[in-house]
Amino acid sequence: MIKIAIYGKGGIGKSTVTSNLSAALAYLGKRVIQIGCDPKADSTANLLSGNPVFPVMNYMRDYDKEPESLKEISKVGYGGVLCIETGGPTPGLGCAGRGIITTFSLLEELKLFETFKPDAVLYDVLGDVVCGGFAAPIREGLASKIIIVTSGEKMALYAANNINSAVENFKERSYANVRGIVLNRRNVLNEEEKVREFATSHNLEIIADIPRSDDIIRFEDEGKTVIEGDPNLPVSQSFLNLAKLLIKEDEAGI
Amino acid sequence: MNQTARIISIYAADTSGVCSALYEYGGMTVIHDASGCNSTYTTHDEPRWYDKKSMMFISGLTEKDAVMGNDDRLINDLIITANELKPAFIALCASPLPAMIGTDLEAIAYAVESETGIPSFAVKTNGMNSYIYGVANAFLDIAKRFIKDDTTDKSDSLRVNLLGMTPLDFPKKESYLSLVKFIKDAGFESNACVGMETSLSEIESLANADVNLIVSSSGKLLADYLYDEYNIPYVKGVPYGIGFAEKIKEALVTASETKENIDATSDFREEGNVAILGESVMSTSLASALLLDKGIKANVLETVGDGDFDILKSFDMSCDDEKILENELKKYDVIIGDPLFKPICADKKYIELPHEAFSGRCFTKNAPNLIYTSLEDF
Repeated sequence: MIKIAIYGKGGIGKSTVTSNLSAALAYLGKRVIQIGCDPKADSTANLLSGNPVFPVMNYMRDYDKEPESLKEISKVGYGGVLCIETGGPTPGLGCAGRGIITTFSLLEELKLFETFKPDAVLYDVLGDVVCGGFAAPIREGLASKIIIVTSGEKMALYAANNINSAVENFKERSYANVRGIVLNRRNVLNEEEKVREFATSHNLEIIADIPRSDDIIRFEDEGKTVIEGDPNLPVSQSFLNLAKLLIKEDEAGI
Repeated sequence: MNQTARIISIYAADTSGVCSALYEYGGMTVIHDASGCNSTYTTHDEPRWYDKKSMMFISGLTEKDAVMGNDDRLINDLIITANELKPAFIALCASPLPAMIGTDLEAIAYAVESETGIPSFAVKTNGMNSYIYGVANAFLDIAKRFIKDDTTDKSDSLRVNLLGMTPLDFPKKESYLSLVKFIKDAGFESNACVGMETSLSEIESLANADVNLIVSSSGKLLADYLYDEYNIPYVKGVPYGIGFAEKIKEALVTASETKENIDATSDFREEGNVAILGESVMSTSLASALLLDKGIKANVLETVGDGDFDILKSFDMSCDDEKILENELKKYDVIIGDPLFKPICADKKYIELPHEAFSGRCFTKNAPNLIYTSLEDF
């Protein structure tokens, strides 16, 4: 099974990359689950045509009980992708990291994987690995590979470095490894060189190069991924190529 | 206020359950906790503490370690201690604080095992579940690590595993001895007893049994595993009294022949005006024994709020709320239960049946052994 956690600086385009990758995997015939791990709960918006799923933590807050079935906290989106959002506490209160851990325990209890039998699971994780809760998706049995999304901007690369270092710290714990970098272009000066230099110095591979594209914004305004909007666009092909790479590696047992 | 205990006691927590379950297997059990969990366990929940040595520790978690995510201190302490004490295994479990901050004890166990070579595992706890949850998961986890495939020749006699024995439910050694006598008198062979008067070699040989006898809810999870993985069926029931012990004997033979799981209490229950309070498997077994030996009809009020609910009849109920329980008890003429339930039983006729997991060692010496013996004096 393809099990990927996607990290990167806040606002860098993780949700865009994740939902397009989910859509690309689904377009190629795979059964996909996408779990948004962010209190904002907007990871899966573009897979659901603007009809958001009820986040797990919001369900628990509003009903003061745990959901009893997956139906209450999931929704099927484009290509049959099962969409789940952890959600989070009231802004400024509580503990969002704990919310992620609670959600994962709950999904285990509800036998998510046994029930849905996915070919691929994608975790879209908020920003940095700021505490234990945000490392939960890369624990044993969950994601097996990490993709870091970055542009050539200084702060994006700084965050990418933090994420890579955090993963390095977990090397004795049988956690997921960083598979590579997705360069999500912002068209900053010497962008490719900067990201390539970072990748080389950390012994990482750039596994996808997503061009700056107005099509992404155009289709997002319609509540769609570019894969759903037009799979033949060059930007769509970038996501499809990444999906093909991950499928090929999974089939080869890598 | 729901789920509060203003007058009565509360049951031992899952962390005590883990320690109790693993006490005799030569491992090192560590509760990841600041302090307190271990003293509660040793002071109230563990009658073997002063007679039998065991490696039970707390980690001494500090506020700074928790806030800073300083797991390395725990890992280093575990490695140093394990290298010194050479335990057969290392088991970790979480008190509420590490459970809340999501400390990954499985990953810590992995790191410690990689460094020491000593089998290490984390038992799922949060310090707030019942002792049944802790015992059941500890039994399952240790079995998964150490069980070996059946390598013995077929035996002429039926080989029986006793599942779910800890002092939290059976504080006196007499209970164990009576169960062994029951097995022997029935012409069966005791293959392994999980939890008490035991050793790691008995865990290794669990798969050699023909049938499992579940004597408390704590044994159910392991029984399900042994059924799924090794096709060993189980019988649920404690052989209290004489008549019910005979029924369990028959059920063990039937289960081993048909490979079907059997609830031995199922056919020997009738609604009555006697209430039995406590853990579900033991309480329903007592109800069956009272019906068969004395014609007494009793309902079970399962008071742990956890365990095997399938064994309960429609006239039984699960109730871990003091206020609701107090009202429910008004319906009964006679109540059988731990002495610490007595204050909410008004002036009802009350028969004391101490339960270590509820009242600790306070009344252990008064606890009768009802296994495979006449109930005339009870």
